[in-house]
Amino acid sequence: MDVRLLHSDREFAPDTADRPLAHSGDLTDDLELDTLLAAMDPPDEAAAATARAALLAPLRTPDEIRYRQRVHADALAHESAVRELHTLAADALERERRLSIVLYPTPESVLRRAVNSLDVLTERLRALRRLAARLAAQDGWASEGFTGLFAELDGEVDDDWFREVARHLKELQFRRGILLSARLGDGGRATELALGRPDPDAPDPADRKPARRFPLGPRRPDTLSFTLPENDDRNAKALEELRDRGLNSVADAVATAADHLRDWFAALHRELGFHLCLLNLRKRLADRGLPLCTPEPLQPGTAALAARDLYDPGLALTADASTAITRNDVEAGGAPLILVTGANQGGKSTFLRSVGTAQLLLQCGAFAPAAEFRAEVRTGLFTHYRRREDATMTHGKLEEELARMSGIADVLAPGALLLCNESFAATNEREGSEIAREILTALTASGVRIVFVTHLFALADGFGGDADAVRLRAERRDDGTRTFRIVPGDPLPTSHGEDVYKRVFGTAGAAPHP
Amino acid sequence: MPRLAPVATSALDDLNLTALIDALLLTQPPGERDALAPRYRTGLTDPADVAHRHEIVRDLSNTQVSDAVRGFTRALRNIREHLSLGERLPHPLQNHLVRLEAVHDYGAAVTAFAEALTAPEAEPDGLGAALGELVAHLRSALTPGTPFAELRAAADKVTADLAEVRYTLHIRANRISVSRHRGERDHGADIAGLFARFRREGAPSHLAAMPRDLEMDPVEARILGLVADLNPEPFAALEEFAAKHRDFLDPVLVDFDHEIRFYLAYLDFTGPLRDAGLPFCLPRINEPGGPVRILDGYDLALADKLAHERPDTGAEAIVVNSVALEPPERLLVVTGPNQGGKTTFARMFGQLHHLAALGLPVPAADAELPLPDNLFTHFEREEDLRTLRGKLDDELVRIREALEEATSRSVVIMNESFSSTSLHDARFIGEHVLDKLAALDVTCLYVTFVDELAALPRHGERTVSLVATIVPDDPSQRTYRLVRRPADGRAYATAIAAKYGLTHDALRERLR
Repeated sequence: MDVRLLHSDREFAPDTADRPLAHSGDLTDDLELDTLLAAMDPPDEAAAATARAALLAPLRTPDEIRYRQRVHADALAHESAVRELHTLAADALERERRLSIVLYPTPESVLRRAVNSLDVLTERLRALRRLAARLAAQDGWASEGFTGLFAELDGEVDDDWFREVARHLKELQFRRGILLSARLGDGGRATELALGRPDPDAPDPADRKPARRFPLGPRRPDTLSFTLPENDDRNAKALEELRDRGLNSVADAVATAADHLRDWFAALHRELGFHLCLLNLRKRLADRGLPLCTPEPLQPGTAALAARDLYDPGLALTADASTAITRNDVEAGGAPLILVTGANQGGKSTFLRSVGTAQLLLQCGAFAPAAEFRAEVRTGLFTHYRRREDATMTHGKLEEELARMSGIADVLAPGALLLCNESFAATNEREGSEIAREILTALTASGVRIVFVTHLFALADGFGGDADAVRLRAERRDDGTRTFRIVPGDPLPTSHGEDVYKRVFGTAGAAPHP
Repeated sequence: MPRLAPVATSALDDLNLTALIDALLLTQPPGERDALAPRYRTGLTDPADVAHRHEIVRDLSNTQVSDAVRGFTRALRNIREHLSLGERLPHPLQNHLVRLEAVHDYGAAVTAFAEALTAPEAEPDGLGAALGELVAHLRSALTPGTPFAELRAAADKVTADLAEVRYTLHIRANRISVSRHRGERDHGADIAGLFARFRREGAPSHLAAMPRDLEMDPVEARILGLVADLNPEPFAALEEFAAKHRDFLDPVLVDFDHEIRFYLAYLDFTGPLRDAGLPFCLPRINEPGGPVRILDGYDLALADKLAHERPDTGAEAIVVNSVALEPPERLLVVTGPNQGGKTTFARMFGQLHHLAALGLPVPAADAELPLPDNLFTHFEREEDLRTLRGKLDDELVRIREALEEATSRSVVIMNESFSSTSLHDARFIGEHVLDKLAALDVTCLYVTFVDELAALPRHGERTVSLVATIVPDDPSQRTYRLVRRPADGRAYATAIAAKYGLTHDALRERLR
């Protein structure tokens, strides 16, 4: 019984199969994902962690993405049902957590705790089964994720199963003592100790008449017994150790069973929490009057990227309500390289962030911040932003950028998307352009897709007429005002720093006199 | 005549061989170290003895053979520990059971050893004399009908009967009942089956770590007694077996086990360095007075230290040096700046001679040299707190003693000798000592700050001059070649792009 609300074939596994992308710390900072994650208003820490992990562990195929999109559509149509299921799962985990903690684990104490866990969890499982039966009767469940969950709760854990579990838990109270089977191990010590299930109809072994001891005589006794004197510490300790060795394997089995059931609840809780996070974010953006769409994942290998009314949700969530949120249309066809040049403070960074965020949301099966969004499913997403701090040691800074790029190159694969923001501007323009050009041509030739925001005119100009490069420019009207829109356009040798200077100093453009 | 007295401790100290020997003894069990230590301090002077050791080293360089030998020595060690543990157990039945187990281990170890040594990959016919004899001995021991075969058969029978013994314990309050096993169901397995539908990967184990020693408490001892009472026949057979086979280890194999450690300890110690790509070779032994030729030699103690301090890059940081003394060349005069690797070079030279005399692989890509009859070193004693005058006195006394003992077959290594006096005096004394060394016709390596000593006309054709240089742009390196190296001149930005593997071609290659 796997929970399958995030993947079609397995549970979400943030520690193994769904580990975050390499360099996801930089990605989180550069795309300001913390803002986005906070706006999801996670119901608890597990939901917050899952939303973050899922965002940073992109799905790799269009089919996987569509599967999660369908589960999410069900959650959107049955929000209160999803909240009820989430609450029950959280309650089961909380009740289990409140059971006493084993401070000094011995087989006997581990077993005791595990029996209590199973008591609590199977009771909640029964409640969940009843709830699922009621919710499944509602109309309109269409995703395999939810219908599969309801079907399993109906079929896999029936009344017979619950009865059988209850019988086991009762036997583990050991009202008739402990029965162990064993073999001779190293040095004659008992080994392969296992807890036996006594036949409920057989006489209690301890009540059998003690046989007389004739070890070498013709009559073979079946059972030989002895009674340890009371109040003897050494014997009491030895007896306890024997019990512990005997109970070790059954304690492991029962505790493992309890772990499995608890982890199943945790997976259910985690995955429902993820969908609640997306529902909350969706509501925040819709309240702002911004468009949302179900994005279309395209097969890897197409290098496609197309959007209408694409915006940066992070900016939308932080800007005050009166600010108009800039929306851009993009049609990059199948070009592996998009070069963005143009005016300072013209919206280039916001555009870059919107491309990255939309791609991540697409690949975690969510909606996209656009009226329409279509993109190739990428094999990875990486950011290489110029770090602003420490502008003094020029050579050290270039070296830091190169070291970081080398770290990204270690994990880049064909089909990955790399977002660069003013990379390699830490040295002079000619040298920076030369380094960047070598890197860009090598990466695009290796199948990596790149959106490169740059001031480096020599670099951007060098790609003129290259069919593999789409060139965009921050829009600037002739009077110098910016629209913050990104439109097709060739690079200009100036980034219009003069405009900014004029705005800041309010002069007509003449350089200030000393 | 072979001289079998150890090299002076002070010489081994100076060459960092004492620390090296201590470290390689640590690869061996404590009980073996005292017997081994003197063997690493005593060089062989007869080339035939060296050839004998080379043969064994060559055999052991076949991993099939060395793995087999290592496995066997390890097994014997475990068996000995096991037996002595059994002796200490209070319950006689337990002691018997431990002895029985040891016999099984021994039988398996001998059989596995023989099989591994006679396997085709081990090329048993190509083994040298020592291991060849051992293989012959093993083959005859394993023939059916020998005492060894009977020992194994008897042990198998006793064990098989004991393995049949299964029992059930019932514990209720403080009463314990022992019964013959009646096939109860395993409760743990039933529970696991019931919850298998919730199974997931990576669940932690809740098994408590139970003490695995063989000590029994009184309750267990009573249980064992009752189990024996319920099953008298197999336990009687056990007692009989134990009484009959008290000493079962083959003395030939026990001797081999002690002998082979001399090689294994060294090979174990140098293994990680070999794996890191550092060269080792068996040197060719020249006649006394013949040439000394070393290709890519290095200081083994330093290599070991660096490999421990910097496991990733230690081996790369080792700088190798080559040197050749062709007759009539006998005096190697090393000059150059401080921190230039002169002392390291001197140690390398001395270590190679000592290790070659031990008949072991030496730290070099290739080497040939005559066997020294003794090694003398004369390193400055930094810690000496005597007066200036006293220190020079002391140094001169030590060199005089060495000169009295040294023969034309000896190797003398002088490191920064007489630096405690003036340049003029140092030159004067140095020239006189060199004259004496030349008269003795010893092989000598002389590290000095007195450049003139490298070009004394009267020793012209017997002197080789080596100059140490520093690598200027990488002061982190601790050892240097005694050769010059031209500096690279490349444009800065391209150079660091290349350093990070970010040129077009490098990047394409990385993403292929």
